[in-house]
Amino acid sequence: MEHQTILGMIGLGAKEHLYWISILLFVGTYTMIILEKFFHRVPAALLGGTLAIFLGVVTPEGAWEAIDHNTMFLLIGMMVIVSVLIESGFFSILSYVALRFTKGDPFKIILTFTMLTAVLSAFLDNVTTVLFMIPILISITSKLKLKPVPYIIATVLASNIGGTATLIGDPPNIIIGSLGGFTFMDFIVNIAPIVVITHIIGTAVFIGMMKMQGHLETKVTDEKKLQEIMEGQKIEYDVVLMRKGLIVFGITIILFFLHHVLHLEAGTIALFMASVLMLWSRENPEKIFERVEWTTLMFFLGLFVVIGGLEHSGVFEDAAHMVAGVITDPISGILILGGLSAFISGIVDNIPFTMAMSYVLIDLGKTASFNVEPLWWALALGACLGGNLTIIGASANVVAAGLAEREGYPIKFFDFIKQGTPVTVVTVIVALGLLWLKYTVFGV
Amino acid sequence: MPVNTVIFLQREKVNFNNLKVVKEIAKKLDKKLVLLFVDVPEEEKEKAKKQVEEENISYELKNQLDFGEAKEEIKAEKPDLLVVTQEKISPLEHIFRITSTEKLVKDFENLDIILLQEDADSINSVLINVDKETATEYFISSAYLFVKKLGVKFDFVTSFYESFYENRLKKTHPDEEAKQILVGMLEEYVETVKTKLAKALKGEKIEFLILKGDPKKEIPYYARKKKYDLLLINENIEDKESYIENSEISVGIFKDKEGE
Repeated sequence: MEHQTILGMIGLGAKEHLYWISILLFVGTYTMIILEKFFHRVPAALLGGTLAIFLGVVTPEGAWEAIDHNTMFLLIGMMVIVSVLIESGFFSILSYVALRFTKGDPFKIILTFTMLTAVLSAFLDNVTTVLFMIPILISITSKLKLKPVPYIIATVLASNIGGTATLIGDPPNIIIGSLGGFTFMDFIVNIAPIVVITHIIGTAVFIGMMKMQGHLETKVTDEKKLQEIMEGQKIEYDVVLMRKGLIVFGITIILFFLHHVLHLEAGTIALFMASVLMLWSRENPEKIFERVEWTTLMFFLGLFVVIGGLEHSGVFEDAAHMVAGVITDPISGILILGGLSAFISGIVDNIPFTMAMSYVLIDLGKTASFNVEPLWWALALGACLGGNLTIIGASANVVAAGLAEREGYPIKFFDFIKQGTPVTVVTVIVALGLLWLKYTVFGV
Repeated sequence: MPVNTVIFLQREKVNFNNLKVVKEIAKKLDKKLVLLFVDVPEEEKEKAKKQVEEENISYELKNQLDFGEAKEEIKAEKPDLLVVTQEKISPLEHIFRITSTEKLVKDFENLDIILLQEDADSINSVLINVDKETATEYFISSAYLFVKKLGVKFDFVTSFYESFYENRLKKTHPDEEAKQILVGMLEEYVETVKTKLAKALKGEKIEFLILKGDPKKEIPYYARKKKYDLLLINENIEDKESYIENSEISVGIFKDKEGE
C-alpha cells in the first residue's frame, strides 16, 4: 500500500517537492535553534522532527531508523553511570583532594582544576564535568578572595579541549564515532595525542593571559584561614557506591577499547554496563534517572529525524558533490573543513552542525576518489575545539554561565570572548596543524 | 546493655591507643576483659597485660596463632561486646580496599561490635543513629545504657531523606502542594522516631537531632564534622557497610535483638 501523506494530498508529494520541503524544515529548525533567545532548542528540534513525519517527508518507520541508536544508547548509558558516580560523592572527594594539593595557590588551583577537568571530560560528558567542577571552583575562589570568572572560563575551555580526546568525551565525537564507524581506539590513536599537546599549549595560553591580567596573585596567605576554607567543604560520600561505580566505569572503558574485537557497539556496552550498575548498586532508579539529561536526548531525537528527512530526500548526496568540488584532497580538506567547523561551532550549537556534516562526509566517502578519514578527524577537532570561541559555542559553556550567574558571578559575552577566542584560535591552529602534519609527514 | 565479657581482638600487634578505650569500657561497665591476641609478639603481650593489671580490671589473656581460630573462639565465647581496631585509611584509598576489620564484621551476627579507629584513645562523645525503619527498641535501649554507663556526651540522631521525596512529589504535584505533603511526611517521620525512642527509653524524654539527606551519607558526615568519637548503628540497618566505610570515625554496630 502506498504511503499517504498530507503533502501528497495537496499535490506536493513528488520527490522534488519533498527535497525542497526537507531543506526548508532543516533551515527552519536550525534557525529556531540559532534564535535561542526566542525558542528553546529542544522543542525546536522536536517540532522539526515531528513536522517531518507529520508532513510525510519521512515515514514514522523511516524516522525511527534515522535515529542513531548507538549515539542514543551511549549517551543514556554514560549519563546513568556518571549519575551514580555523582551520587556516590566521587567528584566531591576529587575536588577536596585537589584543594588540599593546591593549598590556596592560584597557579596550582588553575593548573590542577583545568587538568582534572580535561581528564574527566575526556571520559565523561562535558556538561556533567562542568556541572560538578564550577560550583566547587566558585566556592574555593570566592573564599580565597580571587575573581571566580576567569577561573570558570579557564575550566570550561579545558573541558571542551579534554572532551575532544575520546569517542565519549563530547557529543560531536559520539556522533562522528557512530556515523563514521570509528572505534574508541581510533579516537585514542588519531585524536588523543593531538589533544594532549593542544591542551598543554592551550593551558599555557590561558594561564599566560590570566597572569598578565593579574588573576594569579595570592590573596589569602594565612595558614589558619586556608585550613578553615578546606574544612568548610561539605564532603558527603558513599564509599561502597563509589567502589561499585568505579568498577563498572573501569570495565566499561576497558570494553570500549575492545568493542571492535567483541563486535559490540559502544552504545550497547554503555547501556548494558549502566543496567548492571543500577542493579548492583541497588540505588533507586528514579534518583539515578533524575540526573540523566533527558532534554539533550530529546534534542538529539528531533535532530536525527530532521536530518533523516534530508538524507531520505537525497540532499546530503548533492551536498557531498558540492563539497567534493571544493575539497579535492584530504590534506587541504583538513584545514578547510576543520577551520570552517571551528568557526561555525563557535557561533552555533556544534551538535546539529556535526550531525549534518557527518551525513555529508558519509556521502562524500561514497563518491570521492580520496580517503575521507582525515576529514572526519578535522571535523571532530574543529567542532569540539571551536566550541570555545564564544559563550554559546558549546552546551558546557552555557551551563557554566548559568551556574556562575546563579552564584552572583555573571559571565559577560565579551568576557568569555576575551579569554575564549585567543585560546580557540591557538588550539584550533595547533590541532589542525598537527593533524595536517600527521597525514603529510607520516602519511597515516 | 548487659555486658558480661568484652573481647579485645588484636592481630600481629597491639594498638595501645585502643587498649586505653577498651580498659575504660570494661571498667565503666564492670565486665571481664578478654585480650584475644593473634600472632602478637611476647613483649607487646606483656606490656598490654601490665597496663590492664594497673587498672585493676578482671581480665584474661588468650592467644591464638591463627585468625580463623580466633573467630571460632569469639563465636564460642559469645561476648556481649567485641572491640577491634579499624585501620585508618582515606576515602580514596577506601575505594580500592576493604579493611580486614570490615570483612570481619560480616562473619558475626547478633553481636555488638565496635570498630575503633587506630588513633582512638578515648570516647567522649557518641552519636546514636535511630533508623526509622530498622532500629529496634532493644537497640535503642542497649545503646542508651551503654553511653549512660560510660558517662559520655551523646546524641540521638535521625536523617530524613527530604530531597529524594521532594523530587518524587514534584513529579506528581504542584510545587506548593508537594512542599505541604513533604512537611506532613517529615512530621510523621519525626513522630515515628519519637515514639520509638519513648518506648525504648520507657517514657524518658530525650531530645534528638533531625538531619535532612541520604542517611548513609548525611549521618557519617555529621559525625565527622561534629567530631564525635563513636557512631552507633543497629545491626540490621540497610546499607550497613556504607555507614562503616563512610564514617572515618569509630563505629559501633549493636544488635537489634537479645542474643541467644
